[in-house]
Amino acid sequence: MNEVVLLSLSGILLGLGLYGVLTKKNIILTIASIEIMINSAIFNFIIFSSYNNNPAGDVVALFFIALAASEVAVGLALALMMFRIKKTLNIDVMNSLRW
Amino acid sequence: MTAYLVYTPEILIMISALLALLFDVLDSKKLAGGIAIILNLVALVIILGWSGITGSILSLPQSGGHGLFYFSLFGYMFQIIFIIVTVSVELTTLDFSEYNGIFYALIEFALTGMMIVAISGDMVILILGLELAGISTYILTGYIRKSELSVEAAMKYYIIGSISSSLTIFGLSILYGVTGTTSLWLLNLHAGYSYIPKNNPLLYLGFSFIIAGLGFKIAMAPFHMWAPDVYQGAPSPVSAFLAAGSKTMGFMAMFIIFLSAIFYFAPNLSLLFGFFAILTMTTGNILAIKQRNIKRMLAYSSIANAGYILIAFSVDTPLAVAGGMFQIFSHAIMKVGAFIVVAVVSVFGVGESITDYKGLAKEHSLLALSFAIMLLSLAGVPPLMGFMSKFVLFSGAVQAGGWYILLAIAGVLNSALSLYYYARIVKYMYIDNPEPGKHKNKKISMPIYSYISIFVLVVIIVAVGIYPSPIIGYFIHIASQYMVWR
Amino acid sequence: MFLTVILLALSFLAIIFAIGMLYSREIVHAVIYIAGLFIILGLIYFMLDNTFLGAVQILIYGGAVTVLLMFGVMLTKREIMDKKESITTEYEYVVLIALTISIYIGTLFTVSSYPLSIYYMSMYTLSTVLFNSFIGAFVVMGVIIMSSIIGAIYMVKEVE
Repeated sequence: MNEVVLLSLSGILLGLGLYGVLTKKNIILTIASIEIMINSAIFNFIIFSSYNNNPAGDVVALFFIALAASEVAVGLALALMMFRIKKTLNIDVMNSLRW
Repeated sequence: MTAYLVYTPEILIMISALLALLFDVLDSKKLAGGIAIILNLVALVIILGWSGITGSILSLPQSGGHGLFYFSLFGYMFQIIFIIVTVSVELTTLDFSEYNGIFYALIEFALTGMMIVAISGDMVILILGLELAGISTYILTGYIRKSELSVEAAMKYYIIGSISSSLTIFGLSILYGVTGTTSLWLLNLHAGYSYIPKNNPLLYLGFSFIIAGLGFKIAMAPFHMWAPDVYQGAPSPVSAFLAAGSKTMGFMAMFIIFLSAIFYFAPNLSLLFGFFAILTMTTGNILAIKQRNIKRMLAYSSIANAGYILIAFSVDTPLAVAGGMFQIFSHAIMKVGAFIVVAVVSVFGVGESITDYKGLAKEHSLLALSFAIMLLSLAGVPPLMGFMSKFVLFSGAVQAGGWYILLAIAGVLNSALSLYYYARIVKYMYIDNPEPGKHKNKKISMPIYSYISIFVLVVIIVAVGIYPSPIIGYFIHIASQYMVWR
Repeated sequence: MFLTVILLALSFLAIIFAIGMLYSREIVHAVIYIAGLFIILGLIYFMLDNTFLGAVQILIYGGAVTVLLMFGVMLTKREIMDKKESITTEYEYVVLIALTISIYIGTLFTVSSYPLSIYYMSMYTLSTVLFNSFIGAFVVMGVIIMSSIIGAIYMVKEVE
């Protein structure tokens, strides 16, 4: 039962993160939502590692935590650059690329 | 010590990235680019030796599964494509003043990521490679920091790329949970036995997450919306790198996961891939017709090409897989060439709109000729490489029989459709007169390095098109070996 | 049974925090909610006897990533003071995502063959695996961090 609860939680978090990415207007919150998505995947790895009796999942989760942190740094750098050019972080201003 | 010799190309490329950073501090851009190109070419020569095309200058210690990595002719072939693409892009950027040492460092890091994906044998290495290439290309896309378009494209690409990687990681985590191993080549070895629970519905859910995640990377039809925006906003050499390198990397990851690691399930996914193939090629070609911007048009043509390549995943016979690899190779060469030409003509004051290309042949006949060759090859006109690759791919589908013939028919019809928008540009360049006021002839130095890379790419396109049998034979050799291994 | 109750409670709390992040009008509040979510996930790892990963989760996500996001909020403060987030529910996304996730959860219930015991992961095992079979990934991770540092510095450097 425990594993079904936890895996359901990770699925729900993935969905909430995806919803946040699709609807949030502020880029920083979009990045935060992406973090929730990656976190749900890492969570899955750790749960499966606990229940599979296999340390590989934990190690992989460790790598992905570091990966997500470095990705957030790059995302925030891009967001700052965007803020410097457009003077706003609203995602609706990203509309200059149209045909 | 000799065990580390297998990583020589990757190490060389990493060293070239660090050297580029060093020369950036010394403010000598030509040196940074030159050293990067030379080290890439050394790596290329080593890999060409290992892949059995030329004689080997460095003996290969071991191949096959090796810890986190898996060495195969297949991976070496993709590494060759990545290096050719990167070297052409780097040669082009030597002519432009805005690219300095950091550009070369980042592009070499991205190349390292791609090379690592090509030899990955484990989920963690696969994802780390994808992300190394991803993170570097997000920055490369926003490289022209003063440009609003460039930064906006980078932001879009970052958001889409992160969604893509998190979906892929989620799918792989389910795969890990069901099978209990993160090693892809162990899955591959054990697939025939009771190692994998065959009828676990969770497994198919994992596959669909992976397809969605990597579908973003290769710009498959329901997930393609980002590609035209990003390719348009990015600086043209980076667009070339994204369209030819990043997309090829996505296909490499799909080959590793779907046709190698879990090949046992590939027949069950055949219908799904067939559906996506037809959807993707049709969407790409129909939307390409009404584009007014040359880079958006090339982006949609790249989406259509992803559709053709997906046929190989659906059919999954040696001939079709060989055709898919050949199509990936030819698409990478043609697309990088086309974007490089777009970058070079922008130096001469030609804009990005399609109508700006009117009368190009009168002023820049060599550039117009090579652009025409690349576009006609993309359309699949007979004596060129694009025709040969499509021919092998579609004949693979026809040979498999059954409903796969439908895929070949869809592919041929789509190629005919695509001829319209490629030929339109050729007509603009050769028949129409230039619009008055366009083509302001800026006083610039001759972009000699770009001409070299365009020349080499055109030679490859024409030579393979005229005399394709050795390269087709090589691809079939790789594909059949690959089928035996798994 | 005790464990199940606690895990259910923590999961419920995590979902509350995630929804709170999606529906908070102040961006600073949203970032605090997200920190809470990360820390709750860390607590779940502790409950699963996976103490090392729990600590890493709380330190890196609850600490570092949250502070990074806070810095992002602070550096772009002008925008945030001016305007509050507008909260709208876009039902087409809700339906689509809820459908996908309910398929996922439904599948979880049909699979019956989960192993039952929780395995205690000692740091000794973890480090042995990390520095033996996964040493290649460690090197690649170093390259990723280097490239992201270079990229981030290049991006925020002043344009001359």
